[in-house]
Amino acid sequence: MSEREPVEILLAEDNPGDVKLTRKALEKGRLANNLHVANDGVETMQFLRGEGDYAETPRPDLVLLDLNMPRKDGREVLAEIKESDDLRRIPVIVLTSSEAEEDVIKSYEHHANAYLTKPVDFDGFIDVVGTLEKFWLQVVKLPPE
Amino acid sequence: MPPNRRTSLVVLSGIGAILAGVLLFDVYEDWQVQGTTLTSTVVENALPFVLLLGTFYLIRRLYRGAYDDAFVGTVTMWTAAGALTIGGLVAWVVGIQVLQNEIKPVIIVLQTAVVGTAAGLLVGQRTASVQQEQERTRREKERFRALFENDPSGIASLRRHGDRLVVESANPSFASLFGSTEGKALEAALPQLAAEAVAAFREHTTERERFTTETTLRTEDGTKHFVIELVPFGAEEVAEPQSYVIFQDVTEIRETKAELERTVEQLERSNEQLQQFAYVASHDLQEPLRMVSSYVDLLASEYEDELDDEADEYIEFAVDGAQRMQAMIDDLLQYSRVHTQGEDFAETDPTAVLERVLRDLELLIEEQSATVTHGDLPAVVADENQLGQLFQNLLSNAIEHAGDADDPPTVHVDGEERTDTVVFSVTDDGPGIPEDQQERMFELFEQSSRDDEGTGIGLAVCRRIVDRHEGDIWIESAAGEGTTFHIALPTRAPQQSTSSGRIE
Repeated sequence: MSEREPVEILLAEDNPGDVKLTRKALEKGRLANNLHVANDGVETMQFLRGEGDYAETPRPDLVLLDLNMPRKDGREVLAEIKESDDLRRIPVIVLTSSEAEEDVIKSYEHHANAYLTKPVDFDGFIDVVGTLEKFWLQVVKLPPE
Repeated sequence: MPPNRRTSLVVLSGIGAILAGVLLFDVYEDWQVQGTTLTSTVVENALPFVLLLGTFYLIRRLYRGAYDDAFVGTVTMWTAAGALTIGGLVAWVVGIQVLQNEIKPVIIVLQTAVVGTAAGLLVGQRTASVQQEQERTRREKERFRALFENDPSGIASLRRHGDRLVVESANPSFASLFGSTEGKALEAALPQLAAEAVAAFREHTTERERFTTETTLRTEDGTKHFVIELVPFGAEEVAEPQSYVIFQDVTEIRETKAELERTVEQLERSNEQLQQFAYVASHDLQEPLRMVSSYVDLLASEYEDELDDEADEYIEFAVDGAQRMQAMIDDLLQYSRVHTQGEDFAETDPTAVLERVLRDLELLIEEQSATVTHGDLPAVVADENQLGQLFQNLLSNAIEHAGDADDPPTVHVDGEERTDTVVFSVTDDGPGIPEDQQERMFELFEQSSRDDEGTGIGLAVCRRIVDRHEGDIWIESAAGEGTTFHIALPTRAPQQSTSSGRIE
C-alpha cells in the first residue's frame, strides 16, 4: 500500500451524529482517507458488492460496522461479509454502543476483526478512532486487493 | 392396673373373704351346734357383719379414683360375694362333717375362705374384664361417632349389595351437601357423580383397595370441587364388602392456589418486564447521551475562541450532567444485571474473594491511608463474583466515609457461622448512620448524607445480590459509634433463581 494513496474506509452507520463524529475524528488523524458512508445494512452490502449506485466505488480497505441499523442490521451484514469468498478478507471492525456480552461474543463468532465500544465523550471517541486508524491502517499489514 | 396394686387388692379381698368365712362358720356353729335360735344368732353377729361390710367399702374407696371404678367395684363385689356365698355354703356342708369327725374347725374355715376367695376372684375378674372391654368399645364407638358426626368432610359408608353400592349411613356434612341419601343406591343418591366414578368405587370396595379421585360436583351449596377418598373396611372375604367415601371440599384451597399461581405468574412477568426495562433503558439511553456529551465537547473544542466564560460554564454544566447521567445508567445496568447475569451458586471461600477485592481496592486504601483487617470467614454457597461485589461495595463505602484527614479509617471484616447461615460483618469506625436513615440507604439512587460522590446504587445492588441468595442485609449503627453492615448468606444452596428472560 502506497503512503500517498488515501485509505478507503466504509462506515456502516445510520446515525448522522455518529457519522459526523467519526468523520471529525478521522480528520484529526494524520492519515489520508476517503470515508464512505452506508446508512443501513442493505446499502452496506450493495456498496461492498459494487451493486446499483455503487458500481463505481472503490473496494474499501476497512469496514467500520455499527450493529444496530435499519433494514438489515450489522450482525447480518457481518455474517454475509464473512461468508462471502470475495469479501471475507476485508477487515471488519464492529464499532457500536452495545456493551452486551452477547453482542461481543456473536461478533467474534462471525469473525469480526475487532469489537470496539463507542466512548461516551468526544475525546474518548477521538482516541478510539485514532488508535484504530494507527493500528489497522499503519501497523497491520493488510491483504493486497 | 399394675400387678402390685392388683395383688394388694386380691390380698385385701382375701382377708375380707377369710373374715366372711370365719363369721359364717361362727354363725353356723352357734345356730346348729349350740342350738340358739337363728334370729338371736344373727343379732349376736350383727357387729362383725357390719365390720366386714365396712372393710369392703374401705377397699372400694381405697382403690377408686386411682383406678378404673368399674373394675375395682366389680372385683371387690365379686370377691366378697364369692367368699360369702361359696365360703358359707362350703362351711355349712363341711361343718356338719366337722362336728361328726371332730376335724379342727380352723382348718375348715381357712379352706372355705380360700376356695371362696379364689372362686370369687375368678368370676369377679372375668366379669370386670368383660365390663372393661364393653366400656372401651362403647367409648371408641362414641369417639368415632363424634368424629363422624362432626367431620366437616362429607362421609358416607357404603355396602356392596349385588351389583350396586348402597349408602348405608351418611354424616350430617354429607347430608347437607347432597340431601337425604341413606338407603339409596349410590347412583341414585348422587346422580351428578360420573358413572366411571361409581364404577371405580364399586371396583375398589370389592378389591379392598383405597382409591382417591378429584371431581367437581353440584351440591346443595352450589358447585364445589372435591377430593374423594374411598377407604374399604371390615373383614375380608365377606359377601357384601364395605367402604367409606370421604368427600373433602377443596374448592377454596383450589381457588386460593389458582389465585396464588396467577399472582406468581403476574409477578414473574412484571419482574421480567422490569429487568428488560432496566436493561433497555440503560442501553438505549446511552446512544442519545453520547450524542449530547460528544457534541457539547465538540462545541467546546471547535468554538473555543469564540465563546465567553459564561458559555464555557454552560458547557461545563452540560458535560457534568451528561457524565452523571452516564454514571447512573451504568449503575442501573449493573443493578439489572444482578439477576440476568448472575452465575450459579457454588461453595465459595470468602477469604480468597476478600483478598482479591482488597487488591482491587489497593489504590483507594492507600489514598485514604485506611487499615483493613479480617477474621476467619466461614465458607458459603454463593455466586463468587457477586460475593466479591458485596465486599467491594461495602468496603469502598466504609473506606470512603469512615475517615477524615486526621483520622484514617479502620475497617474490619468478620464472619460468624450460625445455623444454616454465615453472617459477615463489615465494621468501620466512622461517624455512624442515624437510625432513621438506615433502611432508606438500600433503596435505588438513595443518596445518604454521608454519600456525596456515588450515585447511591452500591447498597441497592448489595441488597439485590443478597435477595438473590435468599439472605439478608442490615445495618447496625448509631451516630458517632461507627457502622456495621451485616450480611447473612446461606451455607446451603438456595433454590436457584430462574434467570428466565435472560436478555444479555
